[in-house]
Amino acid sequence: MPRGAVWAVIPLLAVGSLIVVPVIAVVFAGLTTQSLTTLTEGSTWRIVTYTAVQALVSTILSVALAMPAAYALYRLSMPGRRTLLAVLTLPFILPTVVVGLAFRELLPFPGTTAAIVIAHVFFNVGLAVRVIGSLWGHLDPRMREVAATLGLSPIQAFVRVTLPPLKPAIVSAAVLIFLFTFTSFGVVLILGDPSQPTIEVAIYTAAVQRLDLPESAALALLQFVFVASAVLIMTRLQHRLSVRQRLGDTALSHHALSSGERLTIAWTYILAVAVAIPLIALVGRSLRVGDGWGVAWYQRAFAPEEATTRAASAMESVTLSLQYAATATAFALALGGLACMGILAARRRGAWLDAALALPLGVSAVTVGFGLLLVSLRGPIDMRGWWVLVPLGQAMVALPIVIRVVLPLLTSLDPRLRYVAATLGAPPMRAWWSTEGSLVLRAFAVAAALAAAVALGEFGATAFLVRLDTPTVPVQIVRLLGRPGEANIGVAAALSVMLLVLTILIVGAAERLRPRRNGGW
Amino acid sequence: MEQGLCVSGLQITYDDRTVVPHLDLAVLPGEIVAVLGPSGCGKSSVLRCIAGVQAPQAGTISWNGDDVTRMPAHLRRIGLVFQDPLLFPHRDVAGNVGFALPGRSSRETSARHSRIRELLDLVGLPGFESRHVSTLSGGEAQRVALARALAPRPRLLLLDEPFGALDRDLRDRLALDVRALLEQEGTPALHVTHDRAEAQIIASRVVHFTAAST
Repeated sequence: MPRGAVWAVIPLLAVGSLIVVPVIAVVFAGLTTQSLTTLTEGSTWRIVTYTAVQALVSTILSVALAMPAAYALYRLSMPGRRTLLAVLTLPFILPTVVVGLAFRELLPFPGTTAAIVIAHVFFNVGLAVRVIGSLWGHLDPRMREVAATLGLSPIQAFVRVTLPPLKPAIVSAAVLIFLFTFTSFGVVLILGDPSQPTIEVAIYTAAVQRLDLPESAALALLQFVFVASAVLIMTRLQHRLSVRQRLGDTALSHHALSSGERLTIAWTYILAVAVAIPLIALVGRSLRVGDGWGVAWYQRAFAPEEATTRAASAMESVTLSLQYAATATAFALALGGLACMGILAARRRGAWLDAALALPLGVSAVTVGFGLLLVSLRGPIDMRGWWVLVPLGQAMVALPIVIRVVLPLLTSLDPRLRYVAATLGAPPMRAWWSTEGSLVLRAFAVAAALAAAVALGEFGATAFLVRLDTPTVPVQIVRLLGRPGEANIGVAAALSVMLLVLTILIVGAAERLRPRRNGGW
Repeated sequence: MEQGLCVSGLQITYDDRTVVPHLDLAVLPGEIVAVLGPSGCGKSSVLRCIAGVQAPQAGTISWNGDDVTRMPAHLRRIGLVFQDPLLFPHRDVAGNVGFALPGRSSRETSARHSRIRELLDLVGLPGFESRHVSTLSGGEAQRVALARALAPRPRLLLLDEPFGALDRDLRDRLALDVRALLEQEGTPALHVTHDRAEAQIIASRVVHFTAAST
């Protein structure tokens, strides 16, 4: 292994101790006879089936609804393309509890499977559009014309010519969405039927509400097996489906639109409006006070009354969330930077490092949070009340995203540019800055913003690790929703809007900085 | 009644730029017509309109007297070989050649199988059935594209500078092969090129095309 790869040891250790050790801790706690009875109970398997079915339906709907929009946005030139893409991607970075609340206020049927599925589609349709569209944009549009001159109708041409090369993108989008919806937590907790939990919610209620550690450990083990097999299937399928093909340049077509293409454009606008509605509804809810409108909930969020929010005011939990997020971002950037150096130095073997460090994407946040809790309770060092566990857990969730943003830029850098600058008489520091430095700095700024957004909205792991008297904003929102009364919902909506605005501001700033011509997310 | 292809008054415009102001052209049964003209004079657009993958701004295209101007491409039975081979990357050579033939590639019916073999023999690539398309050279790939276009027995074959990317020797050889092939299959063809020698090798009649914008 090349010397530089040693840098990756530090992030590997972090993933090992903060992801793998907690999962092992959960597994060991699960290996009691009591957990075995949990595994054989019919109710457990009803939970598993329900989790899988809702995830499957959400995945199929997300991908199917995304296809026409992916075509329109990446193949056709349409007005407002960038804005539409931004609107459709927005939900993906939003805090889950904010989305959960938005739909609870909007839908006439909260507490049903349909509500969960709709929220999941809202979350993931933009992801599917991006993943599928970015491949679609590179496919040669003349392939369809070849099929037509060979006598294939448009539908046959789509099935036999367009779909096969798109399959790898469709499968990776579908598996990612399946993983996200299978382990979805905040949305199901807020929108779901309490008598019909998913695995992730059942782990949480067993561990936190009933303090039944063997049962929650057994469920976590079960979920880990499912997630691991999904990841394995994805890797194998992607290998089998991958088509050796030359990808063309992305060129938006400017020919006269067919009626089908006009429909895909219309569909894209409808989808963007549908995505915007819940967010607008949430803002509306936070401003509706009794029969009128006002900012009473915001005032109350900042100055809580004894009966509503108890300990923390909005100011306190927002400040705390920002502090945690800032710390988590610093951790994620440092670990991500070291990881990228290691992956680059390891050259071809870097793919393994990359995969190992992407582990946090696949492991459910609740399992990680619960495992960390178990370790801190039973481990050799008493870590209860260590506030640093919260940002560390959040940093783990953000780490794969930092790597995805920074790594493609670093691989695309051409060192010869720096040599050219040096031969033109630039001193080393200026040569570096004028060629690579500013680009690298920008990539890190984008990564920082995304990491901060993820940390701000993180709920699954944070819910286990945060102390009762110091809740983050998402934890506080869920706590308020668990209490009866109009005021609690109003204040929760106000807090959600604040979190929403913070996230959009941070990621919006990042989008402006994003370098135009690099790959990745 | 007019036999074969008849194009009259064809006009092609891109965003206010008229590429082809007015074109009349005919291809009689059994004829191989070469259209000779400089790059960028709209030759490709004419072929795309005849094939039906693009709509002209004005004019009519008819076959044996029937107006096909508004007919969708997949019903016209007019084959088109592009400048690039554009082979389907998810199929092997046999899968590409047999793409438009009935029957599934996994269960080769004997008719399908023999037609694929016949075409591969015709284009000079016998035994190439299970080769992956990414392993073919430029000339081989273009031959496979030609076989694929001929497989469903089109009533007219359009060739859009199919040898443009190949070197001189290969080009002349392929031009001869294609001529023999088209005569053997009895398929009339419209061949577009900017290469005078190639046009003379391949065609029974050469038509000159002048750039509209100059």
